[in-house]
Amino acid sequence: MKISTNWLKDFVALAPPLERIAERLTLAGLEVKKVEATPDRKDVVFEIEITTNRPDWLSHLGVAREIAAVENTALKVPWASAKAEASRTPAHGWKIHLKDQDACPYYTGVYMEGIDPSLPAPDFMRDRLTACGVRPVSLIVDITNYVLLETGQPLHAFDADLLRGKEILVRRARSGEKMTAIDGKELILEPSDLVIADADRAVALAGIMGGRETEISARTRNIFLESAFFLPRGVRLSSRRIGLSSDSSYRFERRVDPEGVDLGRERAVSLIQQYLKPRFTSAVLRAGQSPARPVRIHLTSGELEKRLGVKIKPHQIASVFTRLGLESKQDGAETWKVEVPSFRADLTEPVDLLEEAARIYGFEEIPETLPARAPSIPNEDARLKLEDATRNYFSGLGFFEAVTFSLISGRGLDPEKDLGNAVKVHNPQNSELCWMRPHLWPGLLGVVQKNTSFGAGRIMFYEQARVYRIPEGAKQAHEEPAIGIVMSGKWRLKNWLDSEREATFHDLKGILESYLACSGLGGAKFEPSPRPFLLWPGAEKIMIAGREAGFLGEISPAVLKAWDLEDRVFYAELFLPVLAEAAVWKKTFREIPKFPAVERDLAVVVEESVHAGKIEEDIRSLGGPLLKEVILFDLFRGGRVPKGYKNLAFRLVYQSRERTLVSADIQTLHGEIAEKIAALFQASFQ
Amino acid sequence: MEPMVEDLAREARQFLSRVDSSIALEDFRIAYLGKKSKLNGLMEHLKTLQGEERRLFGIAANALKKELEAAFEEKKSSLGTERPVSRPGFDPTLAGVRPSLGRIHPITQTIQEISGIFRRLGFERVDGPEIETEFYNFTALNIPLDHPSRDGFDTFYTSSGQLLRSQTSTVQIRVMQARKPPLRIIAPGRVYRPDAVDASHSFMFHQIEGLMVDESVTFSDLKGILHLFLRELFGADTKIRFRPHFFPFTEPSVEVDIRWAQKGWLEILGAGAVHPNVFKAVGYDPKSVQGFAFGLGVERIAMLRHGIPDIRLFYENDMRFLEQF
Repeated sequence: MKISTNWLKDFVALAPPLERIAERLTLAGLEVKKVEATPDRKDVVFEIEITTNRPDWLSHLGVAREIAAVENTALKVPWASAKAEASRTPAHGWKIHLKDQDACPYYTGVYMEGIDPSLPAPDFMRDRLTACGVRPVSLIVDITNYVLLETGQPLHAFDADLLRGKEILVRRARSGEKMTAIDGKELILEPSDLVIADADRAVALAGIMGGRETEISARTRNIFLESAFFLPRGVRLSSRRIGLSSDSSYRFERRVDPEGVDLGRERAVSLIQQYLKPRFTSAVLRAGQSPARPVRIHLTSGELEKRLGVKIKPHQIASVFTRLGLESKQDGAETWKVEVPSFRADLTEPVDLLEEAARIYGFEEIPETLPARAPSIPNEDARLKLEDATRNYFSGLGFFEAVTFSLISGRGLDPEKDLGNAVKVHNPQNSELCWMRPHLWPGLLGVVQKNTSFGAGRIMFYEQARVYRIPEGAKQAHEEPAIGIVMSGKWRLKNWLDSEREATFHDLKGILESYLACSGLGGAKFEPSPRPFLLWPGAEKIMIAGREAGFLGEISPAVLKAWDLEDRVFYAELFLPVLAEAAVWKKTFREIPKFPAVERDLAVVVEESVHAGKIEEDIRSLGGPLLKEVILFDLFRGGRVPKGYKNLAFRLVYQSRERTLVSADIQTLHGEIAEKIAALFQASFQ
Repeated sequence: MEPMVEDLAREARQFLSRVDSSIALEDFRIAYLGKKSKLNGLMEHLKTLQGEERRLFGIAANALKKELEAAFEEKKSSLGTERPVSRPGFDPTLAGVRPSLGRIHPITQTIQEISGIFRRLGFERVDGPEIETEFYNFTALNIPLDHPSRDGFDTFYTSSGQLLRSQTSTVQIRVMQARKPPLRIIAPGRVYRPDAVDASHSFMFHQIEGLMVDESVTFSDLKGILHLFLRELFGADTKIRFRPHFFPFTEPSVEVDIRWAQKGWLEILGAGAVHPNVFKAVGYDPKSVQGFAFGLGVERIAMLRHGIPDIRLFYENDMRFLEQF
């Protein structure tokens, strides 16, 4: 909101420079964003930003009041005593019917006759409105705007001759009732909307905007001026439902000062009488009563000191309250009884006064201390600890951490299998991104796409974030921290020592195996398991102690196509809570073998359909305690290997904890393993 | 032995022990055996002495001279055997073969740094759900339904009848419900607001929430802790100011600004004393506990610290961006 400093000077002395006052206001919580001279240099405008708890600052009087408080100077309202010429004449048969006192506790109006609409607004009024960014329109409207900006009370003037039946009704709208607002918007109303109506129809949406049919024009001679108190909630709901807001609704929904109803109306009537010279002004028509109720709050200085950590002297507290316009009495030495004026509806509890005391005393004056508490060691959450370790592991291996949006489009996802129990967002910012992701790969495919587009040859990313779904039979969403890992393009880029190599499924699998091993999860098993978005066969799940801890595979060509990706993409997802529960942080030492190991190779030619993992498993079980390690070190096809066959070369490492093994010790064992493997897999030896 | 000679002897032996090349050995020769050497300085000094004193000094100086000459010869021969090995094809100027290192995302780095500071102050790291209920996101935080104070917290609603949290303050409520004071927690995480995306706004971003509750923690403690934190994060001479503000869940509420060269005062975090209604909502007795809470935007701080001009860069994950951090 724009505040004219010339206008403020009506109410309070402004000791220059104005920038200093602006800064003091800011440091008291009334933020002055800008201090700027008007183009004609006659005025200086404060651009203020208020917090929702302080609607009383939405007027020049309110800002002047705050300046008086922070500057500890007097507030004067020069026109407060110069009341409008009070008329006792009834309003020629006009009546107000207040049908809904819950939404509008207090409604007042004045009927005025014989105004001269050709009279221009006085210069000061035009200048001040312009300085505040309000375009002067016609004198009546200008006066209602002026009073709004001055006192914070929204007013509305109807062309009385266009109202039917000399009746003002404050009532609920009829279902489907129509009205055209002053801004031209066609409104279709509902009973939840409160309207001002004449005998026939709605003529204003209460507290929000008047209707076009009864608006003030150049032909207006007689007016009905409204000043009322509408409850914030109703105004807010209607304003939001209809999508219509105004300076008036902005104030009503934040709550106006109930006492401003009379004050604002009197000020307006007085200005109209002064500048529009009406022939007749009616007595005030009133319905309901002002909801202003006295509020008393007790605050003890002990409480103040205990919460703020500073002792403020009683006379300083008294001064703060007085400056804020609060009447306070000290009950004994310790307790303050404070009476809150109607414009400060935000003050209802002791803590509100405590804040006021701190604010006006000055936050800067409150010392900085450190809490006195015995030292304690904060707990460490196992999952968060694992997350840190995991980041270090993957980043150290050359993976970049990605942060992508949790909201995704359905691109590449199966509407049934992937999105069937996914969480949808009703009001997404971007209509495409409406799913809370059930997996991390869509975000990561976007990252692959982004980096491919500028020619990155080696794309390795991970993201540590939540995945979401609604579990079968449940109502509420379930979310789980996960890690998504993606690899595409080269595993190794060419350099002058090494040739380049494409990334493969087995690179990703090996990375996961090492990761699991260093987390103490070497016993994890990889088992075939299909996923709708992974190439099958070839997708696997990771099992730890009977629980699924993740999966891996190659993104299916259909999904790649949906993402316009050409290179193969390998993907794994790990479920952090399962890993965190199983991870072993306290590892137990095993003695390092004292005796040397003996290595023997075993190369077998088997049919393509034979799984290397199965052979490896059988070698292990045949090897017994002396066999420490089985490493597949070579795989080749072609050459002397017949078509449809492959050669697998294993290195078997034998080692004893008790003695040095000699060839003879393992000759028999190794021979037996070779024979049995040959029999089991119809293998031949190369 | 004469002290002067003794000193020089010690110095020379030390020098020689470090000689590992013929260049260094030549330096040694010039410094200790040459015409303008320190040893010659001793000989000059000898001329100024008389009688017995002169005799003893002379013996010592000559002994040292012999020692150093012998040591020089010995070193020379030992270095002399060091022939440069011929290494044809070895070119040390060939580029080092660099392993490809990944990076931790700058948002995470910022979270880790901030959480790290608070953990050193005894705060426990926690987290909480992102899909939340009205109760945790609004009601318990003293944000009434149909109130303008909700305007700042426009919210995404989900098909599960829930909402996406618009602030990490939800974690305060969950932790307070589950535990008894004293509490010192720090809760980083993602938050969601239906803001139009531009250079400084995103519909998803990260916040860190802090909370401290016990029977006596004061507003002045809040000031002390936050100043300590900001100095640690931004440097010892960081200038800050505390400006009254309004948040429904704290009172008194404060915004903290830091002084940033060229840009003037910049809002860096919001904080305040926990509102009694929040304590009531979690079943604490507001008369017997007090505390403070604060919340800060991670992206904003990361942008400021690293000079990143556009928030969207964080979510694009361009390697050319990420590898800078």
